[in-house]
Amino acid sequence: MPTSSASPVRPETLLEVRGFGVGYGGAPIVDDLDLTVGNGEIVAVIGPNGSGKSTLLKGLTGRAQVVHGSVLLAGADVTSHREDKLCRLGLGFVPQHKDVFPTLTVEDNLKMGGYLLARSKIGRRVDEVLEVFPALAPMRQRTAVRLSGGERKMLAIGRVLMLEPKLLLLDEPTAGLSPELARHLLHDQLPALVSRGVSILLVEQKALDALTVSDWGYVLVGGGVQISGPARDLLERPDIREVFLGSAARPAVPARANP
Amino acid sequence: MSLFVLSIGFGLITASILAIASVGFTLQFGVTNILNLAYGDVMTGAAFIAYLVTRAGGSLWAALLAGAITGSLASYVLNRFLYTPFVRHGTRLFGMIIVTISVSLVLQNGLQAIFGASFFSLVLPRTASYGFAGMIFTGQQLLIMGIAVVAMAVVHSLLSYTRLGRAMRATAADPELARGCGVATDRVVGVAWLMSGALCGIAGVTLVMNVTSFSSTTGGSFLIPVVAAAVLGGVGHPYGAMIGALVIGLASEVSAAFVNPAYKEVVAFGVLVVVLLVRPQGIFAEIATQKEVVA
Repeated sequence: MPTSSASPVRPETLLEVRGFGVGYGGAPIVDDLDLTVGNGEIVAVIGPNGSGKSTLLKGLTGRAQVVHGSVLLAGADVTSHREDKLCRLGLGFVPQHKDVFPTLTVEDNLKMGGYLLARSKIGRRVDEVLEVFPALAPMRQRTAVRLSGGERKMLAIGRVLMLEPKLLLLDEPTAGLSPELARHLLHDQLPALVSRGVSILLVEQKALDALTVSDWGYVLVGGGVQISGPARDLLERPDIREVFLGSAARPAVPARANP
Repeated sequence: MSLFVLSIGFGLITASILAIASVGFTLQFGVTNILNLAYGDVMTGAAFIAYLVTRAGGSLWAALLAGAITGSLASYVLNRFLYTPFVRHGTRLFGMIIVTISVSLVLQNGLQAIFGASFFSLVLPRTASYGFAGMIFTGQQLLIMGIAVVAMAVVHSLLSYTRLGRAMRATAADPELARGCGVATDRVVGVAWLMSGALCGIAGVTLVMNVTSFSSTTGGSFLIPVVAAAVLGGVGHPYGAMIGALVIGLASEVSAAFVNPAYKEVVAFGVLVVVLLVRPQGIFAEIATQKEVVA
């Protein structure tokens, strides 16, 4: 497997996926996949349509069948755990679709996100999460279905933040957002979350933008990791630029330095 | 006029029994999306247990409690050991409906095999009659209405003010998202079957408290107005089912005072048809586009 040369030392491992195979009853869609996310990292998973990105996330969150391999979260085996267990262990998943309760208000969505918290702590935590996304604060009583795409995605992330996760899994968070909003979410919001102590596994169609904000990148092809390496190295590789990013593409912002 | 007022009294009693039954029916459906057409026969089963309790000298309260427990356990067991395995093996909405119809047939014929194809009555003490504004109720009928009011209040408090209620509403709205919030949805589904079953059992006992005799098909034929009430209110919505029960109960009894009482169920059906005409998305359209069975 070709990897980037001179790999920098990565931080202590938070999520470790080993020999992962995921399917829906037939031949595995994701096969023999290795992946790690370190503490404080943003890790991007990119790849063409049908490369197994969504299936990988479904396998990690107990929504699809794990045929082999293991998932360790902070050293604990969480293979095939369903989400109600995972979120107790510090993993928060923001799905691409159906990411909020559409008929509930912003505040009630956040309260539902804090379902596992003691009743006395929920109110304070809602205020804290609204500090992370100040744009939502004036909309507390607005029904989620009436939010814009960007506001809705912030609410979806906010709902997951209620439980103070160590690791966020984001499934194509910029899908359906305007380029402007997508850039704001990836370039401003995600690093802000990391500065609050959250690590992020980001699955994205917008490969260029994803790699630009990430520390590490995995390129998925045919259900396995084709290439992995520091995100800025991947951005420099002409073959990757050509295949996944389009040869004329240039990063808008320099890649984040590794901490 | 007095016949009209009298029939409103009958309507309120029918509405009370219907409300208990259809709230139970819709509560479980809302959470699991399994249209349990064996519901009426579980009602009958609870009624037979209540019959055995009263015949053995047990009080009406003991009979009601036994009925509630029977309904609760039967529903839980049905889901846990029959419906859930079917869902796990990939049976979906319409397949599950066929499964519940089969269960209905097995239960109905099983009860008939055990108790025989004759008619039964609860052994109840005679009570005085009470008149209110032209309506006449027996003590037992007042009790039925009281039970309905208490049951509705309990369901309302549970859904509105408890953590379990929030978990149930979240699971009903989107089970995967609820799981993502930390809700153990499989446990919530189990509780929904237990609660729905308790209401089902109480409804079965109150149903046969209010008739002179019942048989193994009594609950099954009561299912039509139960489903009609649930659909009328918007299936899966307990408060809607309460309103639906009131409308169907009053409509069928008041109409029975003026046309042949044999047409009661026709009226219930008629209301259902009119509602489906007014709400053309209907019950299945909503399910098929948005929801899937949960076990």
